[in-house]
Amino acid sequence: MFKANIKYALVLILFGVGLIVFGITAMDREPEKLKIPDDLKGVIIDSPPAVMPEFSLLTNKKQTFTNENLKGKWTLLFPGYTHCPDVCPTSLRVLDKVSNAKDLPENTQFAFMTVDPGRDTPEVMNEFVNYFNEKIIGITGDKAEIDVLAEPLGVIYDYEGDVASGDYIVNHFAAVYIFDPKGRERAYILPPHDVDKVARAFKLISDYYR
Amino acid sequence: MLRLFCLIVLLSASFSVYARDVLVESPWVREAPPNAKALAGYVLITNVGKNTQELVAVSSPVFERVEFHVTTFDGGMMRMKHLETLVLKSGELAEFEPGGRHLMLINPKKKLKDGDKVPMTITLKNGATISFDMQVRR
Repeated sequence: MFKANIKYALVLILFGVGLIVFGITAMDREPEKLKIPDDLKGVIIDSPPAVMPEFSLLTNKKQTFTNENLKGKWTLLFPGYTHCPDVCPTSLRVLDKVSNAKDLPENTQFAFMTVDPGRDTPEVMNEFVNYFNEKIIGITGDKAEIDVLAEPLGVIYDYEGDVASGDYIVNHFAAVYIFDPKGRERAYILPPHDVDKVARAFKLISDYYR
Repeated sequence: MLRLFCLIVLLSASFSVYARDVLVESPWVREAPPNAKALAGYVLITNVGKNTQELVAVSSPVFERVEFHVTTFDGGMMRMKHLETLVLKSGELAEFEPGGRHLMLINPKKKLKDGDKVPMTITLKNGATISFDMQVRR
């Protein structure tokens, strides 16, 4: 009788452990890739999400910005540079408006990362982002550290003109990147950007991969 | 007389500037952060004449330099290209709009904000000039 109870207990414990293991693996399992409606062009999902290497950057408030700062919230990040008069202001205005859109996760942060740290000091970034929205975090830092994040994201860029005199253009990959609350790249949205496109894509993605 | 009146109304309504064979409409400059070193100007330029026109230069007393630029997207890659000149065939419209062609306004000599006016002059290959004001908008 006693032995039989032990047997039952063992079976139960094994079953319980099995359930927990199964639960953990199921939690970590990548769900089926989110299907984006056909009318939403240029939205690319990373499935599985891309884990970012360790980086250490600087915000417009001169605070460090690392992988930890991407955790616990959704992040929308746009790479660019402040001497960019045409595309970057358009996309930053879009981020500003998306930040006021309804039905989006409350814990969302918005960031503008320069690929031109030579000219874009924290002071320059501070003025630039604050003009659009004080909630947007301006990110700069050592060029090598920017590359640590830019490379896995596929943010290719090059300088054209006279870099020494400061008279140059920066050509760059101009997508809006979406990071999940684990700090992983979950999707990116190709330009051109408008509020409806970015807000809709972000809502679909944050609802599905919550 | 009525035709003249209509023309005047039409011209003033669209804020257009008519100079010789080149029509300039809806010129505006995007307001930028106070210390921005480069701004973008947008405008619609139509060759309403019979001959092909070449726009060879553009300048403003408010900026150190102005250039014709075009933004192109190759996938997600955004590139800006300096256009030396702009050739417009008879009847051709060149749209300078966000995300495409724009006037690259380099090194402003004063801070510009919403509502300010920016004088601009475009020079044609035949030596003629077209001057107009671009309004700064948000």
